[in-house]
Amino acid sequence: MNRWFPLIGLEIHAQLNTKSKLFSNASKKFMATPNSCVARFDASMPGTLPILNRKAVELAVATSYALNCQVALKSSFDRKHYFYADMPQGYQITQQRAPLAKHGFVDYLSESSKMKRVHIHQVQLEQDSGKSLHDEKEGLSLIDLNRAGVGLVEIVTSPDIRSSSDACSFVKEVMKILQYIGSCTCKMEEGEFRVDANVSVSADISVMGTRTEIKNINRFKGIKQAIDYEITRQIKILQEGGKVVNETRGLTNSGETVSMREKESAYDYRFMPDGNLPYLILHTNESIGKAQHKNAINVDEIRSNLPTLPSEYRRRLQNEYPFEKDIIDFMLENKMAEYYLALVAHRPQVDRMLTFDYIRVHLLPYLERKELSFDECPLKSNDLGDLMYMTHSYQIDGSICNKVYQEALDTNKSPVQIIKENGWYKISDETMLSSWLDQVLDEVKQQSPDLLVFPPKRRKLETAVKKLTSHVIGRIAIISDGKAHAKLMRMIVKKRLDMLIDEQREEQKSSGASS
Amino acid sequence: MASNELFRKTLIQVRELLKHNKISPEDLLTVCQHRMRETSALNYFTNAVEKHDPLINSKIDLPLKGIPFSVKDNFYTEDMPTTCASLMLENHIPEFNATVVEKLHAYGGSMMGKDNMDEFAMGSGGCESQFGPVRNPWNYSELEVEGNDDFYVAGGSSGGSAAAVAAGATFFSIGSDTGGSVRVPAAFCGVVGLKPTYGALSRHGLVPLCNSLDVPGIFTRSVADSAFVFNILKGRDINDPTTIKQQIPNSRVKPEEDVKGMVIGIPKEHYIDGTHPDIRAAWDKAIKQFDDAGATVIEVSLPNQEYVQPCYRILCCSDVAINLAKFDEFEYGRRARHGEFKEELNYLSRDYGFSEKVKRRIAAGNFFLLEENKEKFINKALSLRRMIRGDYAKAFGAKDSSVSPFASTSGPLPCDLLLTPTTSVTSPLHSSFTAMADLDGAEEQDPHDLAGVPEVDYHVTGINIAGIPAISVPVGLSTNQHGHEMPIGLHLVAWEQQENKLFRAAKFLEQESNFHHWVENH
Repeated sequence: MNRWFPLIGLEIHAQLNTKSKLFSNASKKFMATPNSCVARFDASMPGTLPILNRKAVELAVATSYALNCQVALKSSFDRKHYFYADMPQGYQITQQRAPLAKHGFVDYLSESSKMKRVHIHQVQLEQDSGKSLHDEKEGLSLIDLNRAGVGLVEIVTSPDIRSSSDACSFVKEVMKILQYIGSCTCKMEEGEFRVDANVSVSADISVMGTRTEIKNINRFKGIKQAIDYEITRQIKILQEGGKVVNETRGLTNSGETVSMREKESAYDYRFMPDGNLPYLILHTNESIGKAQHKNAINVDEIRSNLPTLPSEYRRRLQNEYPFEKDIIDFMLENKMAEYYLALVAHRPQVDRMLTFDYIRVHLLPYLERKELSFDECPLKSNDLGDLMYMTHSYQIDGSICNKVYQEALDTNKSPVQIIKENGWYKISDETMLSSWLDQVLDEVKQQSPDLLVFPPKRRKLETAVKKLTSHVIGRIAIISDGKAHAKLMRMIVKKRLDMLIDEQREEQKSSGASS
Repeated sequence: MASNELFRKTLIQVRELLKHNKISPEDLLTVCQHRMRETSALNYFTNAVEKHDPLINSKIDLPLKGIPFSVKDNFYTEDMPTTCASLMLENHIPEFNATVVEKLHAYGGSMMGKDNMDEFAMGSGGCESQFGPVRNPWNYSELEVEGNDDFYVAGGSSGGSAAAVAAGATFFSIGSDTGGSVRVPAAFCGVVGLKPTYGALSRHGLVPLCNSLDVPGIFTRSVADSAFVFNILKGRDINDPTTIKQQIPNSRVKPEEDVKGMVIGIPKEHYIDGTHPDIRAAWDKAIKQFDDAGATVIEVSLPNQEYVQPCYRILCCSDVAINLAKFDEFEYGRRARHGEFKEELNYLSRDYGFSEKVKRRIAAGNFFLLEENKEKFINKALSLRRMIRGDYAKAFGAKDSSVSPFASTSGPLPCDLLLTPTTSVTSPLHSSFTAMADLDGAEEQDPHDLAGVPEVDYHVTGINIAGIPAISVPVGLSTNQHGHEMPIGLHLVAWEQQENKLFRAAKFLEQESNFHHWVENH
């Protein structure tokens, strides 16, 4: 039985997170009324010209650097022609001859927690197309140009990927990178992030088989479905002695790939430089002074202002604590890492897992509800760090912790201040707590010594212990004016009572033995 | 002032009259409207402005206040049809003004009409309009008197713009120049035609022919007028990313210009067979005039001149194929009445809407663009383009390493200007132009035919490929075999953004040649 080696390359289309489109000032909004976000240029009105969106270029440059690419200081735009009703110009503006960036790579953690690398072939700027909607009932074809001309970065990888799960891990990493630098929000359900997968299989690991391209995968699950289906399909064909046809395929809702058109009869895109767009010239720290206009873009500046990338956060989190992969992924996906790392840097004494849990259970749902990022969180990482520290070091009770947390969010006061104002500090000094316990146990001994006799005569042991415990704790609360740390106190009481019971049991044993 | 003479003035002259209240804007309007009626047979407008806004009597001295002009019908005009002289856009009414139109309105100009042209600006005769050919004002009435229904062509593709100014219907007009479309009709109609540096004037709102070559051009009856309008229209436009970002200095034309110290290059490749002897003589005469006036005249070489037309045809047809794709009755253009399916509708609409010549160019363009032909055509044309520009850079001693590896400063004496004829013939009769340009398709053409009409476009097209400015100046008359006197245009070329040099030398030619625009029977 042959072993088959799949080889996968991806083309990722990510909508740039800009207010307006790539070449017009029409706004970019998901689910807007059809044809309400269309500038004259988007409708290809004759005589209108493309005006390149500066922000889109900046985001694409940042994306390129985040993907470790070399950014070209001079790139150009080409027209890629096809006749679709939702492509009003008759062509898409893209970067075929001289793309914005080349030769990058992305390191990602595979499902088996191995670091792997995918090479990025190129990154280019291009326009999105409009949408055709077919009303079968009325027999109408409708066109919505809201998406026409929205800016995309296309990220083309080398065929470096060997499995669908690696493809998914890689795509997740790319999504995180784009989200971290803010170039794309990557909401696949809103069509902001789409993937084409080139898949081939070969019996010889060093040879690439005939590939097929599965276009326009627009749901995350679909990536795995499409690749797995295609690998199985191709292996079956090859095992039966057939030939894989180089073709473009689509993914059905049920996760199968179906042929769209054969590449042999491939569409000729008739690429041509776009005469309406001058070269895209970018500057460096050295050349920016010679730039002819104030809108010139300095790539060095963009590179040095790149935010910390997920891979760096992953490294720092791993240094911090042996978290499991899933937890780190969770933190990265929820953009929690920076907040978390700042918190533990401020209060290194806090319990790592408890703190993560507290953020996950309390703060994250709150931020999601309020649609805030961790940056915008009203409770700063230092403050939550203080609160966690005081909780974990028993300076306050767990119940008080939640109360303080809530009040801090509501009032914008610092937890330390809230605790001080309310006198919520607890006494956690063990000697102090023990002396209170001694005092109460003496009381009990004098008033109702029966309670301290074990095993009790009329009750079950557990019931008696429970009753005694709550009595003792209640009394300590009164004596200590509520300052005794409840959880800690409970632990001390339990320990002491257990000791008492054990002592008496030993005594009874030895007396029984002697009698 | 006798109003029947007013139309013979230049823009600068009527501005003076207006300034000193010798005439009113209403006078100008009346005179031009009268002139339009008198010369309507020339067919220079596709649509005339019927209603004029009451002229504002503001005290603000707008530079073009009340001055009648017209624009080629491929410039967008708000609420007024913009047809490109094609059935495809017969009823197309834009919702905004092209930047040049907007500027002319803002400066107080008064638009008289939209200039007739070759369909989608493809042509050099002004004959290929769906609204009928433009007729050259020169000797039009003579032929009529002779009972001859032939006429002289106005040149193209901006034929209507040239004829309107030559006929006195407007004081200036705006055309577009992709491969000579302003300078050829200017030479044929005996007016001044300026093709500015690529990007000096905004293309926003200009229906494109070839995006990387198109530039709005200016027709006037004097060099000073040309500079005046150029100063108004030039400059960066945020709606056109290809406009030049740096400030372009204003050009000033002195009442008398001298050319002492200028270096005038005569490209030897422009001595070609078939040049009319009168044109050759006019050229020689001009060379002598420059020489006598203290300019240095030298011979230069543009070795890649022979590749200009193939390069132009490939780039132009390719862009035509692309730019006309949107006229699919879906987005733009008229829809065929019948046709059930999208493809059929598409086919019928495009088949009806475009003329044979346009269709031929679309087919050729798509042929050039095919992946299998890319190396053979598009990529060759793109490198030819760099070589052709390099030739000019070398002649002008321009450092242009960014564009051309061929440019060097270590050549012969760097030229300020080049001087050639604009066309090798004067305006031909419509009947002979039809044969010359094979308009009736007598000869089977295949898409490889990249020659153009050499008598007409040989001298002018390289300028567009190089992206540099040029001007055609009328310098005299030539008597043809029919005994008709037709104007001769000479062609001055400068390096990019050196329009000021062009105007200076053009003014010199104008004053030396003493060309009379208004001759008997015209």
